[in-house]
Amino acid sequence: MSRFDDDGAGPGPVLQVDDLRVWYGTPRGPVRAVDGLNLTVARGESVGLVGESGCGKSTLGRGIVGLLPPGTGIDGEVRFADRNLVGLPPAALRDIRGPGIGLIFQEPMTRLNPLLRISDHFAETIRAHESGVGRKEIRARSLEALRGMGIPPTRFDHYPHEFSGGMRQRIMIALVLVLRPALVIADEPTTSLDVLVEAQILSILADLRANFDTGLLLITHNLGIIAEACDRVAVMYAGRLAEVGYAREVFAEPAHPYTQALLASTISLRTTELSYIPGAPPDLADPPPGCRFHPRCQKAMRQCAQHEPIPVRTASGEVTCWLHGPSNGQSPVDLEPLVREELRSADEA
Amino acid sequence: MRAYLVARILLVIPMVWILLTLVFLLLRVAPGDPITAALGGQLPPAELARRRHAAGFDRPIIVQYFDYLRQVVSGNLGKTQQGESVTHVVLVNGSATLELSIFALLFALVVGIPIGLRCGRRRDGAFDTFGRLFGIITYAAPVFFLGLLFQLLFTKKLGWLPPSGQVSSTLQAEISDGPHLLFFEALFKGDMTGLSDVVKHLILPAVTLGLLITGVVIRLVRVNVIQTLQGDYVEAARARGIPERRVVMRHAFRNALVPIVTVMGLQAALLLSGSVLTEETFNWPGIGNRLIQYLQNRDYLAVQGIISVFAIVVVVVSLLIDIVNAILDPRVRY
Amino acid sequence: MTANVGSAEVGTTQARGGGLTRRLIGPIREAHGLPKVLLWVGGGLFAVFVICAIFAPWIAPYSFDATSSGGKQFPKYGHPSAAHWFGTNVTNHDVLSIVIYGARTALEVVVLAVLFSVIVGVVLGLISGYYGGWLDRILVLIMDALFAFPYLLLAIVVAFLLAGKVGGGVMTAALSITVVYVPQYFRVVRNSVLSAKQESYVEAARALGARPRTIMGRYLFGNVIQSVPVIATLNAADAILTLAGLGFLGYGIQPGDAAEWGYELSRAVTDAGAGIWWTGLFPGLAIVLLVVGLTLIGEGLNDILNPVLRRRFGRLVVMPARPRSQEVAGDVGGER
Repeated sequence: MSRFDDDGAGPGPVLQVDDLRVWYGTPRGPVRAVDGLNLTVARGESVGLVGESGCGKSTLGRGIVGLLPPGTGIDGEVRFADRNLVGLPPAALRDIRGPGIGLIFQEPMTRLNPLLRISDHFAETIRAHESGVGRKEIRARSLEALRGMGIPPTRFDHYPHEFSGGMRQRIMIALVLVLRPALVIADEPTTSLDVLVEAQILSILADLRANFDTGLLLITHNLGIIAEACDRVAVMYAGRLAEVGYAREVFAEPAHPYTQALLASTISLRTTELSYIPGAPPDLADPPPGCRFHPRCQKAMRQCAQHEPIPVRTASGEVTCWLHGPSNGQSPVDLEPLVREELRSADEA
Repeated sequence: MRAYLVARILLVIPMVWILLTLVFLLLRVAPGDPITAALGGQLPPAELARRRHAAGFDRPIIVQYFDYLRQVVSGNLGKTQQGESVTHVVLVNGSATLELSIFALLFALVVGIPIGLRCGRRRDGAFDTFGRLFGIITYAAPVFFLGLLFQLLFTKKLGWLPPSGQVSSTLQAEISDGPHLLFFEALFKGDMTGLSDVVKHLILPAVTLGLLITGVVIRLVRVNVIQTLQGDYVEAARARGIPERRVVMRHAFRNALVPIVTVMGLQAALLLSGSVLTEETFNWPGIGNRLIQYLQNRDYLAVQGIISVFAIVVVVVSLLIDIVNAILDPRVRY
Repeated sequence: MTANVGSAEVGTTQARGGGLTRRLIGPIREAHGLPKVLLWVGGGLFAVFVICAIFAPWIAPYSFDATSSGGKQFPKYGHPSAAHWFGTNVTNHDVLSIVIYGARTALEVVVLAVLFSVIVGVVLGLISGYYGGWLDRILVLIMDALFAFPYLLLAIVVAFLLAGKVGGGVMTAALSITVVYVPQYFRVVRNSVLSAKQESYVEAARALGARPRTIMGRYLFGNVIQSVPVIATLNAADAILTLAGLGFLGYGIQPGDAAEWGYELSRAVTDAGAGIWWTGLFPGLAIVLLVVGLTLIGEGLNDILNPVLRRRFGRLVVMPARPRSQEVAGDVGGER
């Protein structure tokens, strides 16, 4: 088991994110990719993080382990193994990356060093975190991890360009798992792969939870994957969470208008006409006032444009939307539907 | 790997052939033949005709062409106007140039690579700015200007180092008639006085020429390290908690070597051009020096012979570079 | 030889063609920090020399080939003094005037050379890249051979062949240098064209029946145009060095025709033995400063335009204090 398990402190969450902010420094000013986000992942739980492109999902994944460009502002708390990862010195963060938290990336084609054999990748990874491990043991452990992914030992000494995309992704996953992390963050792991390979990988990830009690944060824009593979789902919009809850319930009865719109726009065999969310995601350097979704929301009220909504607990989780209160202290005017001019067509990204 | 090597080595033949053809054509673009072009107005027609016949220039051009090819391949590069064998000149003077080039290159790599690496790692920091500036200035200063300044400083003012030549005139007599790799000769013979003399003569020219290449190396290493550091596999390595030092050396730098080596190979031409100028400045008995003399004397046959050798050298260097690349980068071999 | 700033050469953002403003001038205006400094310093240095070149007759105290003024003979090897700021050389010429007029020569030759190389190189690259086939293969072979050849020797040989035919040292020198740099533009442009050819919008244009000239002019040219300025400035810097090298070896401009820095340095080599430093130092410094100026411009442009080097993130962010944590309220009868 990972050496980052709680020391008998009881089944607490493996990851707890509190009011996290990650702001990038750009010539135009700070881009608020993550702007006050709370999230919890329990031991052995699989949480899906879903949202449109550019909502900050990948930033969250990277921000948790501190893999950000220099100069990026980060604030808040990321509790893992009894420590706050925000502000941790680089050496300590490096110790956690790998054996504590593993990261699976999106494009497997370019994530392996083309000049290094697969065996070198494994040796390097294991030796970086454990001293005094002999070559035989490294080989044994690596082969075992690869076997779990369906990669035969005969290919252990091959170079990355000799593998297909799907195989490379499985190798990446094996590289992550060989260190037995307590939490795995998977950032769009199947987006660039075909559906058959996708199914394989999802089942591998499902096995993780079953066999090793590893927590999983699955970042994706594909609702179908989440419905299939995740216990809970967090819906992210413009750097914040719109809604969090148990997947089944959120999909059956979505509370936030954004979630409702997302679900309505998915295509199935029963779809007769395309529905989409008008407008485009906001510019994170200059987000709209109040609720960030209000310019595109069909159910927006006056106060949505003025005050940021407060998270409210629901039966299945939490939703951040004025439609669900809290309703003390508002005048009736605030609750009237928002009147606004025609939405201008989205600027080119 | 073997298949690649064989194919690559075989490629040398057409490359050499094309370059030699170009050299042949280049030297006959002037109307008439090299001898007429050189000495047309200075000799009586009969003498001109005799020389042309002796050199075989009155035969059809196709015959001349194949003759030329045949001769080069068999190692006969013709004779200079003074009757020396061009092959001999290439051997003696070419080796002197080789010695100069080797040490200049060594200097450039030893100084340039660490600077370029540090610049690439800490981009836009103080070191990076000064490193870049240093690289730009050393490249901008013409070799003969730097040489001049060094001579003024180290010879005139300080009197530490000799201003010219490969070896002192007192030891000149001891040199054999073969290749002039004097540093290595002295080293092997264990001749310490000779060695120190050779080294003293070697320092200024090698550093001057070396500084020129250093500028190129710094820029090259810097840009390529910056590029590889942005690579996806570098981010993935960091995400696995690999120590930063190893990420930089084993992932970024090692991968940057591939394009670096390729472009360095192209700098062989730069090195040759630079050595011509350096040899002029320091009176170094190299092949560049001789080439200038032959050009001034309009000794076209000698010029043709020497440039042919240059062409072959360029092809061989390109072959070596490709082999090194194949060793470094497994993708190339397949 | 331009080292092509490494493997990345000069990258282009593969977007729709056209839009000189959007591609070049826009990013330059937006640039901050170090690249901007490089551009300003380089531009400043370059401007100084341009002014010298254009206004030489007014700025220089004497003509470059004057050996006397106002009836007074110039000394031979005169030390730097009030009358001769940079001293005089072995043929009684004023070094300062030589340096200033030398700027004119250098810029004349280099502007001509770069112009010719760009035109020939870009056009050949476009045609070769677009049409492909045997024409392409032959051109690539020739260009690679020229590229691999020591640049100085190539220039010398061409200077030889042209000597006396094209008349005037400036044109000869310019043409010799042109031959050396055409392969660079050819190569970069051809690569640009080859990758742009794959783009869907080019395929679409062809499907609509656009003529090759239209496709090359409107779509491919825009992509290509982004890499040319950087290479042009770096080539100009190189060309100055090549010109000086030619002059040093005696194959450049004839001393009577115009002042040339490289030639002055060739004479200064013997002066160094006698301890006379001013005949070499000032022309040499002129070369260094002009080349550095041009290189800085090129590096600055590259930092701005090359996508590999561009800095999208990296500004330091200072975050305002955390707003008070919001309490999570219970479900207090809101609408559904």
